[in-house]
Amino acid sequence: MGPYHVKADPTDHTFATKMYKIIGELISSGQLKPNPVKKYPNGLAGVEQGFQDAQADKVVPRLGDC
Amino acid sequence: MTIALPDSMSFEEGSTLPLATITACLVIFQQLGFPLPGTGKKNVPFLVWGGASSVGMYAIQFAALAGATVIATASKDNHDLLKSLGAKYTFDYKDSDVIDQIKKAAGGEVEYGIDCVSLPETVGHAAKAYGSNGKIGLILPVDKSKSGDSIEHKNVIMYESAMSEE
Repeated sequence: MGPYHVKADPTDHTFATKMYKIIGELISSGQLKPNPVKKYPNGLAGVEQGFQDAQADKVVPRLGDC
Repeated sequence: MTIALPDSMSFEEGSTLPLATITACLVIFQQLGFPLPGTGKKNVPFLVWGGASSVGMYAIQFAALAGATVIATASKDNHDLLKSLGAKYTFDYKDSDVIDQIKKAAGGEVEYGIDCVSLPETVGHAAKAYGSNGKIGLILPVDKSKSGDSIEHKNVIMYESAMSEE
């Protein structure tokens, strides 16, 4: 086990199991819209650029990007 | 725990769902007791601080689905986007009178909300919009001796719901 430990919470698990079903229905019916995404090229090699852009506040959503 | 990905949604879009949605849902429906979508309405103001963040954009949508009047803060560039997600009022968090703008829109002090930034400075600032019964959902624990507020903090961490005891 690493330095971080998050204790399981059965109440949260039960809630999340129920909620995920509702979320699936809401996205299927279009009532819930997914967050805007920006896709980086080059597979895993693009991850570093993504983190750098996030630190520089360059991946905040803008209308027109999505 | 899985979410079925509809044909209309890309895998990239789907990847934004699991952590951010359930974080927002734990605050709104579990900690603050709003009715689940489709089961009722709670027509009260709901403040989303950091509305253009990944959790913020889902919090706006879920609070709106629960019937709340959603007030969100973000940079001006994102106000139209947040309104399209269900925010009724959007304000620039950099405005010196943002707290007054929020209270005016809410018709008084706010009782419920989420701080999607969850730094002592943002919580301490946003807390000024809340009444003495206010409850604020936090995605990171915030030390009250640093934020200096007296409202109730509701901490959530999504991983509690995904872990199993070994």
